[in-house]
Amino acid sequence: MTLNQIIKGQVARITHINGEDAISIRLMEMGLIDGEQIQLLGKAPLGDPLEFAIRGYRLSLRLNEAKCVEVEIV
Amino acid sequence: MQQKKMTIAIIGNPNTGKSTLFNLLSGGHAHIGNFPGVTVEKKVGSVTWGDRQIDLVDLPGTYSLAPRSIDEMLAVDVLLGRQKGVPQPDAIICIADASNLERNLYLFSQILDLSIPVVLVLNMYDLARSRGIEIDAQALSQKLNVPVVCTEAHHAKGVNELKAAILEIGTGSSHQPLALFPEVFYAERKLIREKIQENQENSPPDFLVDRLLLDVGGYVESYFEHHTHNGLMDDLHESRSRLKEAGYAVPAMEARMRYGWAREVLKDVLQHPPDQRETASDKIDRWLTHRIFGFLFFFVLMFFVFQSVFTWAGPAMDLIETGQGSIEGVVESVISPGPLRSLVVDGVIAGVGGVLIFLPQIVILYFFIAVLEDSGYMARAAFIMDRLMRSLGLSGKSFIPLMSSFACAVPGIMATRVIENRHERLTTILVAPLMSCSARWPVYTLFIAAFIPNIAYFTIAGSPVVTLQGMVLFAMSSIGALIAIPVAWFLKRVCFKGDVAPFVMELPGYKWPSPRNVIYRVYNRAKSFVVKAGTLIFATSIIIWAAGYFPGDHSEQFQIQNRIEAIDASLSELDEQIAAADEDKPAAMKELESQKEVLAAEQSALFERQNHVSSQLVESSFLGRAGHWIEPAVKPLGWDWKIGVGVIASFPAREVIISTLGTIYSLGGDVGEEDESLIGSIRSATWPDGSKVFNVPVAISIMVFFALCAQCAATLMVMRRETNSWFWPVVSFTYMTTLAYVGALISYQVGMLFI
Repeated sequence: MTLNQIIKGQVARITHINGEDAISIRLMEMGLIDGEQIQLLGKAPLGDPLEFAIRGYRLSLRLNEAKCVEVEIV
Repeated sequence: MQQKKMTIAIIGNPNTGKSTLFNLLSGGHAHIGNFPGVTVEKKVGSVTWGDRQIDLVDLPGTYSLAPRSIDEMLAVDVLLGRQKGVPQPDAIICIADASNLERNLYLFSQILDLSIPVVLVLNMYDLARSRGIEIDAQALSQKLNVPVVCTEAHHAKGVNELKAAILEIGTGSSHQPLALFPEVFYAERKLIREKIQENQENSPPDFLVDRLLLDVGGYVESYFEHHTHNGLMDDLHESRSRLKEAGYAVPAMEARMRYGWAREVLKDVLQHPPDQRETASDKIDRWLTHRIFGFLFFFVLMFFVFQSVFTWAGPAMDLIETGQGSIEGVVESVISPGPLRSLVVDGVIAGVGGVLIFLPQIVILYFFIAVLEDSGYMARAAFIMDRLMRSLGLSGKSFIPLMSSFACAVPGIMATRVIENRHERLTTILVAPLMSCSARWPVYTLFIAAFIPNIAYFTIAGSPVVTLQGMVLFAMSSIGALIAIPVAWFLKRVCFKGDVAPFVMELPGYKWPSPRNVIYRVYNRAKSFVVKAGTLIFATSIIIWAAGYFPGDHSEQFQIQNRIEAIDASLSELDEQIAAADEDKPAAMKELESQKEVLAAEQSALFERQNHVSSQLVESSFLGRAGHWIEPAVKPLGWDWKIGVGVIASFPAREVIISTLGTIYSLGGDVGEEDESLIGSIRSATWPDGSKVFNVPVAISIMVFFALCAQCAATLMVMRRETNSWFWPVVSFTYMTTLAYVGALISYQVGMLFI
């Protein structure tokens, strides 16, 4: 499954980042590396973007960007 | 012995308090400019510490040194000493957020690869400790083999320690590059380097060859793609596929290696509290980004900000206006009527005062923006608004700059600096002047009061709630924002095609804003507004004054003015005599009264004559000639030459139209937008054939023109400064003037069908 599919409060482990484009490189630079745990904290009032906890900080991603991240539920 | 001047670059992730620390280190004496040819701002602060001369260069906040645009390449070029006009840094200060060290070390590990002496600053140390994070800075320093300094820039703590560390490093210790990557990578790097040299390129630094290999589709790759023709790109692809076969696929390899290193470095150095999932900041966030409450809070907050901008600014604006009036009074009592007085009063004081009047609004708006930014709410505002803004082809980061533009586009355009993506920033800058700023209100107020009937559609307890005048005012204020939607769409889809900006944004923890920081930022913005806009308005108001003054013969005007002022003096003298006169002598009293009447009659005749002369002078001036010259162009909009003159004179600043119309319609320049006599003259103005100039479609056409046109020299100048190019102000001026003309044309022509 991909990161846009997890539900609020769920913790997932990243398995892979799809793509080699600017967005996926940026995601990796921000610390989204395979093996890392990520938690969905909440959504913006209109359902997009999403707020995640990763590596002890808060990161916001759009659904479209979260789609590039393959995860498995812990 | 005189020591060599040191250049020190400051770099760090966004939201790490970099600017605050830079301001502390430079003592607020920074020169701000643009790097040649790019939109990025260059901040250089020259300081003397001990016996050392130091130039501090502030680089834009960045998460990584992998350049994807010319602006990001700039930071790399400065660090590598390849940027003209900036010497290669002797040392680097890398500022990291102590509460988020693991991610911040990613950039730091790239900086280590540059082999330039570096000091690592753990800023916001207090925030990290309050979250239960313990960092052993000394152990970290030993592990990294670089000095580590803990600071709290918000409270100006740790600055002296940092200065000491920099001075010490200046004496020369250096470190080896990290060499994090596997052997096979360095072998490939060697091959690629040989290939580049074959093309007789100067041998680039190792760091750039690394970037070429690692950044797929990045700036370095596209640079070499355009500058080499010996099959370097094919070799590059082969190198990358060999790396992939060896199990080190690009680009994932770099992130994995660097984050692996960061984790290893922090293992025994940093202690996290056992459970750090839910912080106080998160709890606040659950409410402030809540589906219903979050939106509600956001809109109440925005409403409060705007309400405050308008109501709090009122008294200060009145004060400036009164001050302006009394300065005019002083000048008029010192200088007798003549070209000099006209220049000072009608040119300089009126022009500069017209701009300074907006200062209170800008200060208040900037106070709120600084508080919202410093507290961490601004990132949430972008988070909340992103979905809505995306339908315009923009992102949440554009919301605040566009919102500020409703008060004035000048601070709005300055606020676009929070947008990292160049194309998104340019789109926001280009549509910002369409937001209906407060300078348009006088125009709306005048024409609505004169031509839109005051019909109430809906009343509550006898007081009108929805009126036709109110609806027209609302329509005029929103037309620009509505037009901005297709304009932004067009810019994004047609001009800046194929550039999707990711919305990967850090949401910093909430904190109390620091008064020092807020005051500093408000002061800086206000100063730059007064200086930049002030000098420009000063110059343009003199030009417009001269165009409206020359080449006419003003001697009769001055004679009349002299006579009027003499009568004024006699009248007040008579008033005094009347007050002092003995009430028992009615004959003497009557004599005084009749003298007064005669003088008053003469004065009112003189006023009429003066207005006639003034309007003739305007008509024969360069400005008036220009008005006649453009009459064929403005006639389809329903305008006569006088409106044309008003519009031309308003190009430096739209508010000018009121005083210009006042002058042309023989009332003297000293009228306000609620002036009954101005409304009266406008209503009764006629074409040479006797038909009325103004009707509802003409009024609407003028208002639409003012709503859409780029009539603000200050905005265009700020645009030039922020984009470091004349191209964008010219584009903006051209497209907005065209829109304004077409909009006015449609309003008039369609409006006339219903009359």
